[in-house]
Amino acid sequence: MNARPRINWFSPLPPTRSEIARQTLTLLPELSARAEVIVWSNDSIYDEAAAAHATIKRYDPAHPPWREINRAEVTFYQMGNDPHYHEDIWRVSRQHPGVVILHDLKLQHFFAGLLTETKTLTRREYLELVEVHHSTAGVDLAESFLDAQIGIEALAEECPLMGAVVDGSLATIVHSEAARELISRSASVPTAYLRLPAGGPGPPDESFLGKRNWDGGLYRLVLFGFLGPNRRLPAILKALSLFPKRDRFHLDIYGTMDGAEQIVQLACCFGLQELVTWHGFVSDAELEFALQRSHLALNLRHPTMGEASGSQLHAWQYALPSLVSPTGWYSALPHDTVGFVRPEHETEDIQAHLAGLLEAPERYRAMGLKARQFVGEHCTTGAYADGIMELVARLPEFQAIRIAHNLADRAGSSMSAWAEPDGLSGGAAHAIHALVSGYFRPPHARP
Amino acid sequence: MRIIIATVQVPFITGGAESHSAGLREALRAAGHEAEIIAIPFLSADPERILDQMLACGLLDLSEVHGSKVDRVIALKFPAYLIPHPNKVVWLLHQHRAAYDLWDYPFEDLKASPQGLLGREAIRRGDQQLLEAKAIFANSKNVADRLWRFCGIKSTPLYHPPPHADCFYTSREIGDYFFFPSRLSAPKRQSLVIEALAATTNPVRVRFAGLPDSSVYGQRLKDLAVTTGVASRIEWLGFLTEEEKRKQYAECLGVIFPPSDEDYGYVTLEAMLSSKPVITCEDSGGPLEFVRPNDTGLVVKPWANMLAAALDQLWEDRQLAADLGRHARQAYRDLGLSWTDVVNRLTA
Repeated sequence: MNARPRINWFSPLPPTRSEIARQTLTLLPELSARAEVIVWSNDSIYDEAAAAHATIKRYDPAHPPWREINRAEVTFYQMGNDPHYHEDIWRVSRQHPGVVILHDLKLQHFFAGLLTETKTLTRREYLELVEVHHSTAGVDLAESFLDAQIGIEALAEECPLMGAVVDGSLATIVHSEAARELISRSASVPTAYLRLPAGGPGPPDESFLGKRNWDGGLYRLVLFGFLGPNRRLPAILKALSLFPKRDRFHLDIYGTMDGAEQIVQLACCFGLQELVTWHGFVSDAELEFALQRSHLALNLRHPTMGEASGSQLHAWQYALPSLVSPTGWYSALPHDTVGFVRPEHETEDIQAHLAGLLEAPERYRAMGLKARQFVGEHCTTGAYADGIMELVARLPEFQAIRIAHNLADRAGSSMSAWAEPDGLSGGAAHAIHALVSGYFRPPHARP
Repeated sequence: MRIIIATVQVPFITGGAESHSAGLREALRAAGHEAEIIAIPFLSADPERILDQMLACGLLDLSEVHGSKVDRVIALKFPAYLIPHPNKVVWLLHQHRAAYDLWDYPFEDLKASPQGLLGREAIRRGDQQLLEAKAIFANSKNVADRLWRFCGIKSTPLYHPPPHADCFYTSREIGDYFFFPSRLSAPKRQSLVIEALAATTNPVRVRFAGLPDSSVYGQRLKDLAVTTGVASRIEWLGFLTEEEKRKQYAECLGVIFPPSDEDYGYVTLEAMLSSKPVITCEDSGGPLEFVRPNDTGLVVKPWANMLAAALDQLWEDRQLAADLGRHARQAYRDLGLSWTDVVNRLTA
């Protein structure tokens, strides 16, 4: 291993509207201080700041330049749920084993998106993928989804398709202990837990804290990021509309979402047109301004896609107290940095926090300061880059494990023609895998 | 002793390695041993198939045959040297060089494969299993140096005579051509010789003998000869019998052999046996262990113009060519290469 290793980093880049793209951009200075970084991105335009720290290369996903890719010691893949940003990355990762950085544990949205949005996966290919990872029961559910009998959230609960991204990789990086345990149970891939770094640079100093007024005037609520159905916007609007002192608040919504018009209509139906402003996707500067003047971030996730939230870290950088759902990564957050909203008591809990903010704003202000301290101490790009380099140093170990699993696959596949009990397809391969997995214990990462 | 020579062979391709194993088998038999060659088919540079072959070799049990003990395995090539045996001796022809010094070589497939890095790591790990052997010999000092440089494993160079060493001769009638017998293959650098011909000041002629690794590559060389304007000064002899080959050696003005980092190279020794000077390059590897510059041949930089100058020099000065050839023949005698010595050391 070279003293200064060369690493490939497949990721979207800003101005792509993705927290993952922001995270890559923020991480590059620290990463490039430790390694020679080649960022592979198919974005037609990208933030020039990235080129200051890494070589930026484009690629044809149908014909990746393997010789060039193989010049690096290891390849990292940033994987999220947006098929437009991550399809090319996923397709390369299927062929060239590397380290997959998982930003969601439920990737059904990604694969269903390949079928319904980008239309680059056929129905048959999609169902085959589901069958490989979730058997015929999963196929039944997927067909129910395709026939509009169940929603994608319900399908993702039962058939997350995480294995279709993780299996075959050298290692996986996740951003919560719960995620690490989940993958360790379900996949035979070494998994490391690194604390997600904040996705943006954050405020340059603390002067904004003095400008945020906590003395009983209007309190600004903010909701931002990718606004999927699990962000509970209708429930938030309902809770706000039913809150007696709702005029003491104003809700600003920033980000991208499908069906934004319906949300605006819903706000009108709740009589909130004066209290809610839909801003859509805005520039970084505009969002920074919004975060500086806000008092409480609403970051509910139910159901959760399971992984850490870049938006949450971003809110914390601005010392924003936040309301979150006690699920997945959020459930393990320090209790003095967030307020919890139980999925089964959303209206009640949201309103209790709004009342609490009016009665004891100092408590929420302190919550925001604690959160800012936490993110400053634990969620730094430097610590994340150190974690990446520790994995790079362990590469030979991961390669050995992958080689063993590849051989297990091929030996099991060969044996299955003659060594399987009737009706137990894949039994030999599974048995060999179990032996290999027992022999090579997946490494545990630092907490 | 009952001895198995374990090697690999690419089906339908025969070259120096096959001659090597056959020569060893005959020498072992001549010394009174029972000897057989077991050749594992080596089919592809596809890393997944390489892994299969590594595993297959690792699972082979050659410790006995029908209840009779096999006393020794002499392993020659990757991945055959992964075959386990309590009395295994390795006589390394070469490692799988695409995982080492040829990783960046444009004609090697391993790096062009999406699984290339994983395959390279598997091969490098597998090579550490060489240390299981009772003794490790290398085909040449060049091969031993590589094994030390890349794997930190020590080995002893062990030279052997080329096949039919006693049958080589020289002719009184010397033709107007240089001889280049070798597979038509990128690492042998026939293309460099074609480019050099275009740079000679004399109407130097070259006869290439050997089959191409692929028909595409063979055609590419012929096209190069046409585009550089030297096609009329080249003869493509194709496959030659041993007798035909020796005749070409005997009647040539000299031998040109400028491969890239050759492991050993019978061509050099066969030229010496035929009393011919060898023109080779500073980066040609194995030949440099035998060619003494300006005494038994010429050693030049691997540039077409330098090679052209060397060709011109011997073309113009036939007496010099003859003198260098005569010295080469004596140098071969001085080496004292013998199968008897090889057999004694491999069976010790």
